[in-house]
Amino acid sequence: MARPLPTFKEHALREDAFVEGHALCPGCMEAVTFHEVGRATDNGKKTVLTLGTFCGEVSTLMYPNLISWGRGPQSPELFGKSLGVMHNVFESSPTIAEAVRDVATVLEGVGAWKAPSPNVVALSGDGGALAIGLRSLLHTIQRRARIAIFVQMNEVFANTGFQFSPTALPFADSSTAPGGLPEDPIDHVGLAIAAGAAFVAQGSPAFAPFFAEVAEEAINTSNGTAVVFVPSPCIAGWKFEEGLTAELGKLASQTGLFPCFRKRAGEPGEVKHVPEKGKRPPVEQYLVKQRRFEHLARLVDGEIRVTPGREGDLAKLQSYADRNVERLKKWAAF
Amino acid sequence: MTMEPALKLVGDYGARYESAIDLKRVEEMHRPLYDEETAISADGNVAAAIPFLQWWRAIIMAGFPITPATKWLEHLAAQTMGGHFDVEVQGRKVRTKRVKQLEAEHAAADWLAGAAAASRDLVFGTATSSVGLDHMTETLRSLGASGLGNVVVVNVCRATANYPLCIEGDPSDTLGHRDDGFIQVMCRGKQQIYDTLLQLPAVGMHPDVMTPTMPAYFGIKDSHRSARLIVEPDQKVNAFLDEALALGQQGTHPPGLLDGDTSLGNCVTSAWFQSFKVGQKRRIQAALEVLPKVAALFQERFGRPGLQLFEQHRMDDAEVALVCLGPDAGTVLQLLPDLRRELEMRIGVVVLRLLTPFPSQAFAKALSNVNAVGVVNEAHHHGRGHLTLDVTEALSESGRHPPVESFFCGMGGADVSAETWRAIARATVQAARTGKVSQRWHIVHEGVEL
Ligand SMILES: Cc1ncc(C[n+]2csc(CCOP(=O)(O)OP(=O)(O)O)c2C)c(N)n1
Ligand code: SF4
Repeated sequence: MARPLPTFKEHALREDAFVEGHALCPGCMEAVTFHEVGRATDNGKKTVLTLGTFCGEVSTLMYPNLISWGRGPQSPELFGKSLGVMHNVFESSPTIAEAVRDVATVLEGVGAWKAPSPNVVALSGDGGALAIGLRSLLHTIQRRARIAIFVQMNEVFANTGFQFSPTALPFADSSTAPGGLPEDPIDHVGLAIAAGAAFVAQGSPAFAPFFAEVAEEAINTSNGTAVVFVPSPCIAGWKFEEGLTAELGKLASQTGLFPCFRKRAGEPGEVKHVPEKGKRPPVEQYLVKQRRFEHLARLVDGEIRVTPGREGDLAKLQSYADRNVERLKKWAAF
Repeated sequence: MTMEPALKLVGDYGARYESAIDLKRVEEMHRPLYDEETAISADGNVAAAIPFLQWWRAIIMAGFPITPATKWLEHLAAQTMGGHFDVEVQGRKVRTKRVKQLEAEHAAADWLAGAAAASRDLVFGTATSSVGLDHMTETLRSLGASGLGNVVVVNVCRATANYPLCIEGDPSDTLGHRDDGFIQVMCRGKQQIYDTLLQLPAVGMHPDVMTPTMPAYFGIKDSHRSARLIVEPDQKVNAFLDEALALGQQGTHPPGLLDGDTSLGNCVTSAWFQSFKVGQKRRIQAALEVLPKVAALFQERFGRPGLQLFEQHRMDDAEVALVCLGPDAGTVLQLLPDLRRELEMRIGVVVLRLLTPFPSQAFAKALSNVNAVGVVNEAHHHGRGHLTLDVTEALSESGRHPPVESFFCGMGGADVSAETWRAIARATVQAARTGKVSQRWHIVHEGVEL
């Protein structure tokens, strides 16, 4: 990287690009992520955002509401603060971002773009990126498109009413798979690495400094595609109490279900914010705070009560968490 | 940063930083392909590819292969990789024109949407066919409503249903996409393909139109057969496009993602949706006004006829009209004197060009004196045929109800032989004499009703 990345403090003091007017649920992690993306892109470069169809789009680009993206009207000298944003279809945000980058690259090459190379950032839901849009995600990565992609991992198709998504944890209730399905979810981190991403990370804004570093690194990646998977507690779909968003973000990592992770291609990566096996909080601690798992276990008078007969399924989820950490360690060493 | 203070607010579209993209520089860096008017031998795909090599506004072309459109892409790939378009900028070799390989047609269409939105002064295109066009459908419809008139999707017509798979040409793909929101123009012959391409972006990008365009020609019959083609010098081609683009009112040019503070593709509720559709409908209808102006300028600059709503052949005194599109028109035009004599009826031929928006009023006017119409559909349709519906609707709008005989032939690229045209003409002349159609539709091959 040409310049050292900004410190957490520098990052935190930057100007946001996610402004009032959005209609995400109060308590939605996506709002926190978008503020962070806004700050990371306030780096003197023009920013282009592309959005798939997902909660983060319909809640921020709803005409005639205020568009909740941008840093307000800029004078031409502050062109670097200006922002263009585009939604096309459900699964296309990586491809349209890649197209913007391609156009910018040719313009820069012939000397027709005098400003610093723009930030091009794609935002997508996990359904948009890993179900219907797996093709576009992986091929944009494979072509080494110089864009950063932030995938909001809420494990459901939230926008359309919390249907099953192939990113869902085993036995997570959804409106089309009541009680959930037993299969392990898709290995999203592995797929992105295998496709050739220059930078792959998983991180929750609940770990603020880690997430700021990851967001900055993604946006400053210049040798290929940067992909950041953002575990995104969905208050409406997961059915948890208000105020738990950050806590669930942390527990998701600590239990091993969605550990913090980052890796640059060709360099050893790291798995973070997940204690060693034995010291990890058991998955039940995470599950009982969300009613989407209440058929497996619940909190009764502060005690975890496992539903009789579902012990095996809980064990399967625990086994998935443990295997997931081991798998991520292998990917880190890849 | 050397940004001149030139910020413009453009209507509802947001702010445009006029000097963010140095278009003059893009133009200067263009390496002309032809310095003078040149006659070459080319097939339809090459004829449709050359304009993209000549326009300085076309810096990247998107592609995914499908027969019979593939050669469009292969030709562009060979040309752009061949070194001709490489320039040196500060000691570095820079390719000023590129081909972008995507992993699917859907991706190619998505890519076009992003690229065209990035800069709305540049022209972005791809070529496809049949199921490839179908695979783009989701984004085609978004593009149709997007206002991105700088998108050109070349469709090389091919039978579109894969049961059975057939790689030869019929217009079922183009006709099946008439509601996608594009300005669709059918071509026949290499010169018409080339000339159509030269003009279409000026129609699509006109600020009253702002609608993507879809030129089309028949797979195999036009895509794979070569003929003489006059290629105009790049300088003239680009000067014409600039001049034609300036036919639009100045100052309403919307910003793109790279040079603007703008948003595209927002969502709305039912309370607002229809007003967007009012705008879309108005824009596509405006093509009916803009197209003749662009065509007139083309004729002035190049001396060849410009775009037409439809071709008319011996329609001035016609009692019967045969309506068709594409390369098979050539056969009936040759036969026309014989048919007039043999059937003792003044027959005229209308060859459709502008498919959407369908030029209903002009069409009805052209047919205001005929006593019967025979419509030749070369594409599968559940009922009387795509074109038959358009033709009948145009006539009934004008208050006239001559019998309209409907024909299916040439499907899957089948030969439309002289005998087939004779059978078509005979049945239509019969309808003129009896004042009514003989059956809801005819399926004809080699002059025989199937
Ligand atoms: C081709 C297509 N199929 C289905 C839909 C309906 N749809 C819109 S958003 C969405 C779910 C989005 O899920 P995800 O990407 O996970 O984002 P989230 O809504 O959870 O934030 C679906 C199914 C669509 N817009 N387009
Ligand atoms: S439904 Fe879930 S993902 Fe969507 S805005 Fe609400 S909390 Fe966020």
